[in-house]
Amino acid sequence: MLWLFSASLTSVESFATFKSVFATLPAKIVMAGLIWAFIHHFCAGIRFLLLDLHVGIEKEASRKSAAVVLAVSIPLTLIFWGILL
Amino acid sequence: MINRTVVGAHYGLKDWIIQRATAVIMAVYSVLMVAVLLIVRPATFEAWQGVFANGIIKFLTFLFFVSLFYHAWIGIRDIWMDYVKPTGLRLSLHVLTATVLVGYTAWAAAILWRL
Repeated sequence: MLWLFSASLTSVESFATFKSVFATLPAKIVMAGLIWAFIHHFCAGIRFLLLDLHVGIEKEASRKSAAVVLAVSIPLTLIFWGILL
Repeated sequence: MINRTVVGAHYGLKDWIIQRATAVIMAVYSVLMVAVLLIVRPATFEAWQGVFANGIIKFLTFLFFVSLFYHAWIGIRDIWMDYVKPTGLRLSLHVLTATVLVGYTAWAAAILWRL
């Protein structure tokens, strides 16, 4: 990922390499997986921060928020995939 | 064990706080960068490079990377501590993980300050 980030910022030529790597289907699938992992971790992280603040600490509420994390992160992943790829 | 103090040695509270502080930094940065990229919409190399050449963005991006690698250090170290019992192996994995993450931090700095 850092290599890709570097390639995208170094020169016009390496930026073109970066773009061509991203244009391939395997790269798009890997990126979709990484975006999902990031967004899920992001949403679950916010849930844990709220639990740390004793927000929704009860069993029923925490069960519900766990489902919300899944329900939010998957569509959000699809949206970002649509924008980026 | 009852008279634990915050400033005592290695009770894990520092790591617990850092894990959350770095998480908040990364979360704010992510939302901010999505907003910046949606507004600027850099399509060409010059525009894309221009975003990260900006002093504030450059600093925040580096802060993000440092947070990411520190966050990853705590997370991965906890996995080794939970699941790898042989001391020698665990120590080797700790050193390997720390080395890689410090290397990534230097690499990220090099990428950003080349701009």
